[in-house]
Amino acid sequence: MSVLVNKNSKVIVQGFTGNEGTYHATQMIEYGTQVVGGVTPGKGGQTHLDRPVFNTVKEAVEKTGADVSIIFVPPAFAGDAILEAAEAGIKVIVCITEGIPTKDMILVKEYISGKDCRLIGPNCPGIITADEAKIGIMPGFIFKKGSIGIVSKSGTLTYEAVDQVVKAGLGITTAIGIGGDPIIGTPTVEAVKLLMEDPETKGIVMIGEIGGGMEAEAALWIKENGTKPVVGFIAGQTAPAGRRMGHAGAIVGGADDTAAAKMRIMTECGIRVVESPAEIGAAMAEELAKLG
Amino acid sequence: MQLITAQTGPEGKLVSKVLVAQDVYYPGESETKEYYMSVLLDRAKGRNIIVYSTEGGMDIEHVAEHTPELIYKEEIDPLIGLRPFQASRIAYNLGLSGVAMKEMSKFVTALYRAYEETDSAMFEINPVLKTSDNQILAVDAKVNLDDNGLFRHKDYAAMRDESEEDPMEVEASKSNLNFVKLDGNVGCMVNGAGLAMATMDIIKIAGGEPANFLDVGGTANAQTVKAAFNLILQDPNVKAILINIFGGIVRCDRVAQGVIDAYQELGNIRVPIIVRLQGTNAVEAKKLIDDSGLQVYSAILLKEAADLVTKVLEEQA
Repeated sequence: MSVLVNKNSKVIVQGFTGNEGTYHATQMIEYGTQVVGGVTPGKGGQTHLDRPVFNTVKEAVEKTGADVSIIFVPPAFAGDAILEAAEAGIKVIVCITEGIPTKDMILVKEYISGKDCRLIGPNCPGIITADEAKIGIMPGFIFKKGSIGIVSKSGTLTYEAVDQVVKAGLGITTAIGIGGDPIIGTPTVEAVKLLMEDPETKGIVMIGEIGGGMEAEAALWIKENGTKPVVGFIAGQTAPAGRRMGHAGAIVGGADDTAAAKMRIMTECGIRVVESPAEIGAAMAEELAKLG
Repeated sequence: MQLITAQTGPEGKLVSKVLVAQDVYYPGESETKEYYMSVLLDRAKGRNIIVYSTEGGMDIEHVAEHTPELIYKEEIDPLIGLRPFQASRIAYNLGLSGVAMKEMSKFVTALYRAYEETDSAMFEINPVLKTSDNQILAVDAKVNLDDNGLFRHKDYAAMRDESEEDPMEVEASKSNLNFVKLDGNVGCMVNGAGLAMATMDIIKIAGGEPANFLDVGGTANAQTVKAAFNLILQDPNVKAILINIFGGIVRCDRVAQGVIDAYQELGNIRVPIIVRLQGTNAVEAKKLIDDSGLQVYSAILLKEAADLVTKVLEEQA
């Protein structure tokens, strides 16, 4: 078992022949991901990394049976790339692109809500099921197989958490980088639900940051429905109000979206919240040990 | 002239331009009236909303706290946009009728269209004024553009006035560094925004205060490290610098070499440096730093880096 993607996932790469697409597709193939082809408009019929290139996602789906897509397309065209994947019947769409205008994402989110598909990202490191499939840009070698699921808005902070969890002797089932933009396809609560339902996942690490209400929403859901220990960390405890901290969505707008407010509600909902990002792995090990 | 308000802080801001406008509060057939109106993204819904109130010209947070029933919201369906019935509803809810009601509907429609077409992140019009002869005017405006949409609006990007920004932040953006100046005593440079925020937090827990937010991005090479050093060292409050890199695609030994090269090139670094490199080739990287003979402390675990921050601050106390 695993969440969303596994060794049977058939993956196409949108923006396949570009620098980013080529580099990361190569890494994904090395990890063992079934990359079955890619899409670059105007280059259909060519072969790239020993795999077929198509002009459209629809054609790629028809010829390869792909059910997952990863998008490395510049911000101006990335919204359209997501729409194309959804329209062509792709089930899991992972959008790595950072910098998509909010206006485009409002329309994308509305359109895909009526489709049978799930969007991860944008502005995210992707999703990985340890030892099965990497659909993203994360360093694959740190993800040792184990029993902990990770949900995170950030890239390198996810790697930090993963590294600590692995060094604590626990390992990873699936790590989902949901993205740092104001509008993302899979909010924290939905990623947490997926991991809660996965029989292989014994504990969940939930990493959030300042801005928005996704962590509070997830915490309230966990309070009612949680069946596994959850360790939480919120980045930006020292961030000033009103300033955007790197990620487009990481900005304190009011009293409810500060790190302190989020940590308070998460604690009230039974989540083990750590103040220091250096304690994520140890805290998870402790929570699992309590279960015996 | 130096302008000092609640927003500028006690040091104030130099006024370099003054807008001279017509007095629109002239007497006439009816009373003038002020309203509040803003357009912004509701993050939870993923849709734009128009927030408005009869209580214009005052602090809207105060209204929200004391008389929340006087604040209305209109949600916009992205597939059909703002419809005429919604613009009318807003005007009616504001208690308008006759000519003023029609003028307000037109105003709302134009306002939302402007918001959409400019790729804005927020419009706040406070007050919206009904004049004594029933015109509807924006008397003040706060506009936030979506940075991600600026590529579609080169003319707005050209209006950027760098003299109104923190000079260090302007310099950072020229080197493609994502930098926010803060007031603390420990500078930091980190790859990735989330880890950068987490690094600021760990500085605080270790007994310091972060002097900045700085995301050097995916490629932490000698050039970016040097630019980052130059930036952080301009701040006289900085007593130590913590470099925190999680090497995934970027190799730690390369970053370590970058730090050493930048350090030697700059030559006059007056504060202790703590370098925490984890991930690809972390052990080789630590050895490079340790063998360099520079006043640089190395760490692999985040906890070790935090302890080193505490140590160097205590030594200086």
